Amino acid sequence: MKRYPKLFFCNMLFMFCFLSFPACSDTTKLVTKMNASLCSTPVEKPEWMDKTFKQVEAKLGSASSKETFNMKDGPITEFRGKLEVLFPRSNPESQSIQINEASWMEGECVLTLWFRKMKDNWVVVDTLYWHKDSDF
Amino acid sequence: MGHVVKRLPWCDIDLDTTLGHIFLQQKWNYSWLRAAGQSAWTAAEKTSFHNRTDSYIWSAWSNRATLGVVGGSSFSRRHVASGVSINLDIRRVTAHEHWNVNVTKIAAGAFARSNVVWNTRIINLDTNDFVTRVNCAGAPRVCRNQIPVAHEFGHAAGNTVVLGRGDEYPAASAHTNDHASMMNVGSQLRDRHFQTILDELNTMIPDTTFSVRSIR
Repeated sequence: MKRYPKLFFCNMLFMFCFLSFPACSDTTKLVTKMNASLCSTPVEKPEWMDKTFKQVEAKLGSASSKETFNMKDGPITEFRGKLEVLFPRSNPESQSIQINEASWMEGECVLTLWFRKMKDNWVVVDTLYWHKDSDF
Repeated sequence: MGHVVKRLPWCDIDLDTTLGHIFLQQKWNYSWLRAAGQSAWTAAEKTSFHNRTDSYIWSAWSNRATLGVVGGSSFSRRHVASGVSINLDIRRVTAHEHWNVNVTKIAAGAFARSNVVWNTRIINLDTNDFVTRVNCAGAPRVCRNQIPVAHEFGHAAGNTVVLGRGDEYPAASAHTNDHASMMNVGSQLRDRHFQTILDELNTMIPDTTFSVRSIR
């Protein structure tokens, strides 16, 4: 103890933490819960707006899921509801718009980006960061 | 007998064994949020939001299902002919909640995604969730009207991806073509929407098995 006072102090602190606060011995659970709470409320990620699919893939790698549909025939539900605001059904031009929906997993959270074909690029028009167990 | 009560993390179920009636109640603790440009919530607006939500949920889910009951218990024998009614209700609380409910005030005509996360018992709603939405799904596409708050409550009542019975509109769902269904893009209840509740009811009285007899 005389030779390693700092080590002794750290050990004592560690033991105190374990005995006094169960959360200290359950770090994984704590971190998982924090990650879950980060995306339990779905939020938009504006920093991805206007990025091309190639730019996104360069940063995030390959998407874990992809689906292409058009606004005329594709399913429009709560999850994709923002697309209908951007491209209203009442606007005839909306009907021909192609959308590419791609998602990337990040632990318990999912980043979904919606791309619209513009000239030769797919460009992000909507974003959502959400918990993988979300029901919409 | 009287009442058999089961308290769960996501609801309380009160079974009146004399009248043959079930009252399922969820305690909701609200957080009042607002989108940019929206005014702060007034007490009257908060009360109004809760009352409207309660009213829409009651209308969509309560007194809709009649449950059948079989088994050797005195309860079963008493109610085998008449069946058992069920009401689903929400109560506003500030502590000891089942669900934390985040409500965002948004402009009329604006859109925010609503969702439910079963494991963390979080519900996210917005002030346009009473407005009838036209949802579309399927190929060829079929569109149906739906009140979002009634659909989201369905998730909080056990129709969740966590239990393998979440949204029904994805192509992978066994019920993807049942567009009229509340948990698809429509507004009609189905027997299966009460499965999580039935699973709990079937643990409450020995030798008593519940099922959905009819839905109106």
